[in-house]
Amino acid sequence: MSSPGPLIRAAAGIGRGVEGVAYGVAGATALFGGLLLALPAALRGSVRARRSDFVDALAEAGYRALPIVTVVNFLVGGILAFVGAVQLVRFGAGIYVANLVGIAVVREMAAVMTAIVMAGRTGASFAARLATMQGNEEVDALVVLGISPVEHLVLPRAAALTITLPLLYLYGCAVGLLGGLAVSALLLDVGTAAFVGQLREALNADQFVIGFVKCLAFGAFLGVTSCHVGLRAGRSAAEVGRATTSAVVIGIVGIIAIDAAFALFLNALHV
Amino acid sequence: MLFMFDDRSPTRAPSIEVRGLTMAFAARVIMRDVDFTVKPGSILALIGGSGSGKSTILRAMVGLLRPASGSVAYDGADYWSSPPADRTALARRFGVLFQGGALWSSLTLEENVILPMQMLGRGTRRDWTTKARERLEMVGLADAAARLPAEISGGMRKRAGIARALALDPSVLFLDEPSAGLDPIASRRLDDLLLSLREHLGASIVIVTHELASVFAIADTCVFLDAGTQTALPQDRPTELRDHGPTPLVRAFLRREDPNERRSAP
Ligand SMILES: Nc1ncnc2c1ncn2[C@@H]1O[C@H](COP(=O)(O)OP(=O)(O)OP(=O)(O)O)[C@@H](O)[C@H]1O
Ligand SMILES: [Mg+2]
Repeated sequence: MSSPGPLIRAAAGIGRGVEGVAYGVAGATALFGGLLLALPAALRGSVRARRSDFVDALAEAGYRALPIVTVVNFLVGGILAFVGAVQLVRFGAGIYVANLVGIAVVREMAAVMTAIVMAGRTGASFAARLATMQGNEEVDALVVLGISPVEHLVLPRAAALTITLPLLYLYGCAVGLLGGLAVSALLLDVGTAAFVGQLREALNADQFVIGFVKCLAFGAFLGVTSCHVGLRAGRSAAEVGRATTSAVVIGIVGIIAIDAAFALFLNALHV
Repeated sequence: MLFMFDDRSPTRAPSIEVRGLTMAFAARVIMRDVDFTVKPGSILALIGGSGSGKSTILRAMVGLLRPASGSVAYDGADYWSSPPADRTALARRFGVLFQGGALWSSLTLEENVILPMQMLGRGTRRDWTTKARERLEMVGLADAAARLPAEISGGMRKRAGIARALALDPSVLFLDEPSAGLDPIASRRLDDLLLSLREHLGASIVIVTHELASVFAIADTCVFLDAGTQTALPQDRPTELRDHGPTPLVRAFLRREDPNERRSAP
């Protein structure tokens, strides 16, 4: 028989890719299930993890991310205001920049941008850390003691990210709106009071609840997948780099997919 | 040198029977049909050339790598076909030193020894600290207790790994090249430590080592893995294997000779 043609090889490649994704999804789902099983124990405080690991993860996924979350959200708020202003002023509707910035930041941008920043920052660092531990047999050293790596390593990190991401989102909203306000004040004849007044009309608590809930989902997703990718790494230094890259890629694609799913779902509910 | 251990009735070491153990990575077989027995309170040395599969067999014994076939039975019950709860209960009685030390890199040496007690044992932090200090003292690392694994030498890492393996007063110790990287005196002290562990705790010890002096000094029996044939020679006393071993390779190995070198008659 001759060697397989390009079509067959491409089909085989796609098959392998799908298989890889399927294994990844199955593994991450199993990990998520393991976490849910460990949750009651965690809430009782009898989980086999170190409190200091949790505190470190909170710091890593929390206040240490503030500078970059500030910069990114401020700029995104400013950019939205700038784009909006250029268009709206032509119709004499400059004041509606506040509506645009308000809805876009609170409902979408603060949530998605903050989550993407955290995927590149904290997700990558979790994956690299766990992949390194896997390579040094540090994970095996836990397993032989009967300590579950999911409970000991993944739970504190995933929990920390699930807690901090929604809080960072609220902070990101404030900074993003501030960025919008700053640009509007510079470019348009919109005073601070008018801008804030307009914002109040445009925004209601629902918008914040939607963003907040999305960030809970983003946080859990990022925490679980980045740890999962780290734990699945092989035993070489190159694997650490590979795990970090895939954690970031999977994180970003996943966030956008989850966001799209939320959009469809909310649309169906007419929210 | 005198070593002190808890008198709290140490659990008796289980008998270990390895039968027909075949280890493979994907389709690549590393070792086939390995048989040996570790009687309670005895010391078995796993020896063989580099890459012959010693660490791999150890991984099958401690529950990290499922064998392709064969069994590892503790007190008659096969580890790999036991329910997870039984495996975990059994694993709590193991002390394992990994070839690379495998210390938890974000924890100090003292915290490394404390963690198993903190996660699995009872008692208070003060008990754990006292015991961790004792264990580190045993391996001569009392002064380095507050250092991180990255801040100590390779031999120190090995010794810290031994201290950690002893944290839960194990009844079976698995040591992967504990004396690699140790100076002759430290290596001799380690032999003494292992003998006294056996004497005071009744612990069984499975040791992988390239240190022949240590094999002859402490091992009751010895299993030689031959990478060429991918089989293990029948278990025997080290001196027996050296003097009357079934293959030239094992006799040369234990005499530290090159089997290919032609020896001219004197
Ligand atoms: N994860 C793995 N994947 C594939 N092959 C492996 C893996 N780990 C080990 N091997 C192979 O298995 C064989 C036995 O390895 P093992 O680490 O058990 O050797 P060893 O006897 O402990 O050697 P050393 O004395 O050098 O530590 C080697 O040929 C090695 O290449
Ligand atoms: Mg080895």
